[in-house]
Amino acid sequence: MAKIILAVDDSTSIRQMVAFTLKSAGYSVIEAADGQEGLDKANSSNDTISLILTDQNMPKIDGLTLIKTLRGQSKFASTPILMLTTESSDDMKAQGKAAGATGWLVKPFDPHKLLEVVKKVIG
Amino acid sequence: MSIDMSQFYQAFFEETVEQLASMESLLLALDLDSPDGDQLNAIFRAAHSIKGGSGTFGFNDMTEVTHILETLLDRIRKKEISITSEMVDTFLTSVDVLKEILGAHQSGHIADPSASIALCDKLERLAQGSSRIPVKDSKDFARPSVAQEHGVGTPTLHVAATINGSPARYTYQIKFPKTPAVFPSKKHLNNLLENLANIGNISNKEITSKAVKLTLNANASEEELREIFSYFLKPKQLSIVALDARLPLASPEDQAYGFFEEPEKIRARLEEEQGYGLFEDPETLKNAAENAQGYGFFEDQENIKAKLEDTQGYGFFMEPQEIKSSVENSQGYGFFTEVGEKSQSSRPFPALRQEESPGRRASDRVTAASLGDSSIRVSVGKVDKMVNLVGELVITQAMLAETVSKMDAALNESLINGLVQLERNTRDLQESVMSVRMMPISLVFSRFQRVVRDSAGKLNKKVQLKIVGEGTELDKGLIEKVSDPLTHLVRNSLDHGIETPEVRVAKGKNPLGTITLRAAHQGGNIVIEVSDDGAGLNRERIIAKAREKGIPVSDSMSDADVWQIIFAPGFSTAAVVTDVSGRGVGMDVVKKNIESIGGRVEIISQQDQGSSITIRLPLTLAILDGLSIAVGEQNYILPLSFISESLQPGPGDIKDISGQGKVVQVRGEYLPLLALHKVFNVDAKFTDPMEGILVLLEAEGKKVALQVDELVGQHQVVIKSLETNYRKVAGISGATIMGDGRVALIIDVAALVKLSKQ
Repeated sequence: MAKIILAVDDSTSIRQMVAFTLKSAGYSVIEAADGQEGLDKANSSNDTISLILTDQNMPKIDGLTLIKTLRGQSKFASTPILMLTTESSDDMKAQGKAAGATGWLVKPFDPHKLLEVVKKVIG
Repeated sequence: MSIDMSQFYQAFFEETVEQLASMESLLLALDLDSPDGDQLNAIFRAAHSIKGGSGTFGFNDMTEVTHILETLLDRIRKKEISITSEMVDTFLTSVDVLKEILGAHQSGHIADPSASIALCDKLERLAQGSSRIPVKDSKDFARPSVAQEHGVGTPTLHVAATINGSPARYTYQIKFPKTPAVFPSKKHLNNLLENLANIGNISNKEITSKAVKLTLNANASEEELREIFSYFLKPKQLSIVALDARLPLASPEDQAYGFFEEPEKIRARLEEEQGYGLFEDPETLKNAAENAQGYGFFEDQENIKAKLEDTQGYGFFMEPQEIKSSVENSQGYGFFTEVGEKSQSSRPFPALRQEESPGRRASDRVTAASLGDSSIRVSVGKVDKMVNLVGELVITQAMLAETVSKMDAALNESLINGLVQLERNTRDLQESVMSVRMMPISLVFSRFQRVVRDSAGKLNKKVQLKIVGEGTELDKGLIEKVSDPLTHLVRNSLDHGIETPEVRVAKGKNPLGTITLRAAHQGGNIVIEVSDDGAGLNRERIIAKAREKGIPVSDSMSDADVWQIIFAPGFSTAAVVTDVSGRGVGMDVVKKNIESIGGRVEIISQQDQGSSITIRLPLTLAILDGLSIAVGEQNYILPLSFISESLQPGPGDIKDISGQGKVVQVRGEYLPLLALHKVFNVDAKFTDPMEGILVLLEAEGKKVALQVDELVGQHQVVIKSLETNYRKVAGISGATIMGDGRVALIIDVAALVKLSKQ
């Protein structure tokens, strides 16, 4: 069975690009348009989510809060989570690490880079 | 794997249009004295999202602008600097400029960079004017992405080159291969050459089947040139030789590649350039990096770590092994290791609570307003196809009903019952399909906040805009067509209606003028009203102006008739022609546009109290309530909205007036009598008006009596354009298909009334 990746981003175009890229590479993708939806979909998924990609700056619940919330649940305590962020500052990295992210990927990124990273994490 | 990024452009365009609109309305709603933190956050987020998207999809000219904008907005929302009205003005200009750039990309062009250069300058100045932290170099964010590989709307670096440009000009000798892998089509190469031509002069161009050689005279640094080429070529494929000795060697921080440097510099540069890293301990990181990458540099371990962190654009906070095992674990298989152990490294940290609060509510509001909770985006084409199909279904249903009505009701009871059910379902279906095309008029109204704000400022007037009933829905087609006329009307009110504050005070009015936009459903119509509490129309001036223009007027005309004069072509009463509301080409166009969509315009005005212009529109363009009438063998449809009554004239009601044809007397009023069979030159059953039926029609304030053979019945008819299927016919506005399958022409009442005057 294809590995499932949850992609959370409020930008439709970026979400589409991410989803398309991952699907083309054979992953199965769940999309969410903001942190709240991401949380809901993560929790309601019956299948195991192998990787979560989340934007930082989003309405309702932001990326860091989403990561912290998910990490607080045993179901997602060890699921790899990558932050997609336009801010590459050390401060942001520190906050991401503190929140429990597995790593980060700086926007803008292209599909190849995305796949490179995803493959590195979940093969 | 190659992914065509252009397939995501449409989504990017649409969401950016939304972001810009929400940014604009938030800016307009902002209270400068005590700006709302949530609103500032939402404005920031809009700029931030556009930056992210434009960067990803390679619209670097937008990234340039939004980066500077975002930086400034970020400092405002963090309360590092306070927002001024000059800033709001500049932000609004930014919205305009971004719209323009976006529009250009949408049509596959590149916007003229001069506007964005001026804007960036202005934003930089604003940032510096209240500076505590210098604005970061925008170049960081104008990173190329794969979008350019496809040559669709390849952004140029013109903006960057010009902004950062030093006055000196440099000459480069450039050589690169011309293989199909690099340039799949000639278009790609032309695209590249065009980009180069944009930043400088190309000479000595030599294009062979294998390679391209050229000399470029440009302001750009080598790094900027390499950036342009990076969309097409791998850096090592490209040879750039500077011919001019004055050329500054590309600084280590700027250049994308190179190995003849100290490790320290490589690290620093790569960090700058790549923007990703790993969140691991140095030790594991080093190991991880070595394992994962299978390569290394002759540097110390610290450097390797930092470099790898930052060359990749991503990073990890735990060991790959650990990730792997956790993944294995989450896959539903794995080993008997403790879960707690694994999750330790990714346990949530208690810090950063403050991250949650700011901006959340404002952003909620914005998304709720602009998106709704669960909606899907569907192309208008699909909806229109559905509307069309439902129209056909309505016709088919009517045909069936017609056929069945001739059958024995007792024998076919269940068939008839089924058909009644079908009719009800069809009607419901039609209604719900039509409602898909319905959109709130706030789409049009909201833009006037900006119009009023900008124009009032230009005219030195104080004006507030009140909006009532912005949730009123009307057909999308109508919304588009009503927007220009409304803009004319609002501008007229601003320019000619509302007085300057001094004049208003002298008249004993509030110096702050009010323009009200109101929309409501009234019967089967939408009523839109533009009213102001300004000077009102000036009767004397209109009459004087009309005489000057040779329009027939008299002093005894009723007010309503006088107001109608302003709809005459080329009429303007403005004492001064301003650039806000043109030169009097407006009102006749307003009237024509409104009438072309089946609407009417009415004016009420009172000296020094203000004026109010009302537009009445049908609910939708696709369906018409009509009365079908028969003349001889033909059936016609009269739009119900124009019919005031039908009657059979008695003896003595009809009179002949020499030179003007017949008139009919209805309750003391003489109305011109028009026989439809004569207008369309068809055979009628009755030529004597006493035998036929007269339908009284009213359009553009004029009444006529139309003589027909008989009234057939009232129908909702689906309008089919005659023009697209045949050609334009005078006196006919369209056609429809009747229940019996025959085509009935829909009569253009306004044209008919005009005909009666001749």
